[in-house]
Amino acid sequence: MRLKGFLLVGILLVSVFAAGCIGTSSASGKATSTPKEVTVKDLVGRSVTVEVPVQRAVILSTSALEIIQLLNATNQVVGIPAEAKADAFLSSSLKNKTVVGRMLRVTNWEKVLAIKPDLIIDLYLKKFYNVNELLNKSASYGIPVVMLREDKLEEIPKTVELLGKLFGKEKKADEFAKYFNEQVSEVKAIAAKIPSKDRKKVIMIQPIMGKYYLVNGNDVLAQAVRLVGADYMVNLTFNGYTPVRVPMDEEKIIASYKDADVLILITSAVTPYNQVKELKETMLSNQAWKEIKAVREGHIVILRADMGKDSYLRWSPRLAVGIWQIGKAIYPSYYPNWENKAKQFLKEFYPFLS
Amino acid sequence: MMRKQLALIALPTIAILLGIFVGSYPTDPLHLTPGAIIIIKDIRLPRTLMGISAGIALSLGGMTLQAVFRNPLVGAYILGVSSGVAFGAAIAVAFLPFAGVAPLALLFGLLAVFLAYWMARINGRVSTVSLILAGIIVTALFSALLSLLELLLPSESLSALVIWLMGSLSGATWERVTYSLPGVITLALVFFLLRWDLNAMSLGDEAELLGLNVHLWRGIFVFISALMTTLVVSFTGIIGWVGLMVPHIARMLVGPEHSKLIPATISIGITVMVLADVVVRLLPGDIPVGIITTIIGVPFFGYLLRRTGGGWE
Repeated sequence: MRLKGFLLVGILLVSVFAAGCIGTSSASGKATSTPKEVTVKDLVGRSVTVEVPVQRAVILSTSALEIIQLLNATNQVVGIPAEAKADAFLSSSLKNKTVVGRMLRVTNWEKVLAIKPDLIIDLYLKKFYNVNELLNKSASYGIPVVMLREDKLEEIPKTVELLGKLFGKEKKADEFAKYFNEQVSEVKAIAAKIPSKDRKKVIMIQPIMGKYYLVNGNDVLAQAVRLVGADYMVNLTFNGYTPVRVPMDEEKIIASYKDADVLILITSAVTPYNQVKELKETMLSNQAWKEIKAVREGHIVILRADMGKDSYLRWSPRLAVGIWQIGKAIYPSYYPNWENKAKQFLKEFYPFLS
Repeated sequence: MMRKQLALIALPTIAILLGIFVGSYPTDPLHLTPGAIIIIKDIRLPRTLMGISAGIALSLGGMTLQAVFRNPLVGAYILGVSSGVAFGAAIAVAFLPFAGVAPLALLFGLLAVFLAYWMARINGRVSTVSLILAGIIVTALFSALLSLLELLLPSESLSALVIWLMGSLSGATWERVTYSLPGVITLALVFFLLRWDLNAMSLGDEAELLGLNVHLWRGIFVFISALMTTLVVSFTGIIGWVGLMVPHIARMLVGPEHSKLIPATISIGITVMVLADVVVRLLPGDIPVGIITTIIGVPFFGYLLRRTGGGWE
């Protein structure tokens, strides 16, 4: 009986010891040049001091991961969010990193500490998660945090340049920023040629689980619509809050946006292309939807914003192609086919996909 | 009595008229434009009819289970229907988006009730307590599975699922109404035909003295209620509190005798559901109707709980 008691206490002690010692560790970060300390301003204007090039980053935003991949710095990442696994634009080498969080949150600080990051990168979205908690906790562990934003088109090259500086990949970052800005300039030049009488009014709807989510005027896609020379009709604010998506019923959409010339339906992670195509057919044959000019005249276009490989309408470097897609969807006679742009873009910046 | 009967006819009639003529698109009943006629035919009528279907199904489902279990705090959701429907919807979103939400929600909603009933059936008998406990177990199981699935969903799927689960009539189409309303009306008629058995069942196990096989009838009423509820919530999402609130209002008005209680419950159910949807239409965006019914239902139920202490009157 006594022996059993000793045995049990022994097992207990070994378990406690093991629990304290065993942890996850997947060190794979590599230095690319001599480290030095720099202070940078992140996308929300915070000054952050980081030792560059960053060698062991935890990145909680999938779009930032895409940028890291574009910069060829995947071996300087050690932690990713769970949703990165479903992103078709991310390579398997990135997807195989340690999962430490989900939906912008760190879900396992023990894992984070085990992989010893020298930087955490996340989005500054106070509506979605407790940003201050992340900042305070990281500060208490001595890990600097760089905050990014995904609000505007111009933030894409800025983010690429910032991450290029942090990861020691300035040359590639400059190359992309130049490419992106060129695309924007070319689109602007075409938009400037569109006479005001031909200017189109546009709305974008993302159908999800039988509901209609209007893309609001503050979304980057609405900005892209304005960039290509069209008027974006949806601008909704509720008690000072402007969401990027507004759920709205069919009747309100019809009553409010009867004059829309073009209706863009966009896919999502939940609504695959085929379902959106079915909805398009339903709209085209439905008398109520035909109250909207765009439906009546057959100007409904489907564009992809899901997690698949043909999706260019998510905030990421891919929008360099996305703006051409939107241009072609609204003004088919003014804009060239975007497929060639996509080929060139993938070959240059996403070689593992092309 | 006559005034009450008139009110029970007038209230749903007014609600339905409001359902047809109130919305963001201008539809003046005296000067209907071709556009207004199309909006009424293609959008408001299916939406109002889905409201009628939801009002009848949720209210009668709640009324029946309250009578069968002789407990005023019981509704169809306590048997696991809502958690089953939610899990089915999440499966559709996570793994089978091409299959559509409604069929899987319907399947899992019914599966949850079958599981609860099977679990509660001991030696061929199903007691009220064991069925409610089994319902709680099944609800816990499906809620845990739902949480697990939610961990796998990307953020936009998760927020869409959460909004869907709050319940809404805005996605109503003629096709969905065709799947839901005829079934609900048929089952409502079945309830009406069985109104004497329902009266006897509300006596509890004493109904056996009247020659009724209590356990068999309990099973029949549970499944009809569950089927009725699932025929609605698999299309609309979870609309809470209607099944708890409406039967009580009806009982206060006409008493517990089911030949009067069933029509009264149907009348108030339609009124509450269609009016709640009219309120939604007048608010900005697309607020889930389940939020409105909960805002109305919670204080009412709190009042009821304090008044009755949760007992059967």
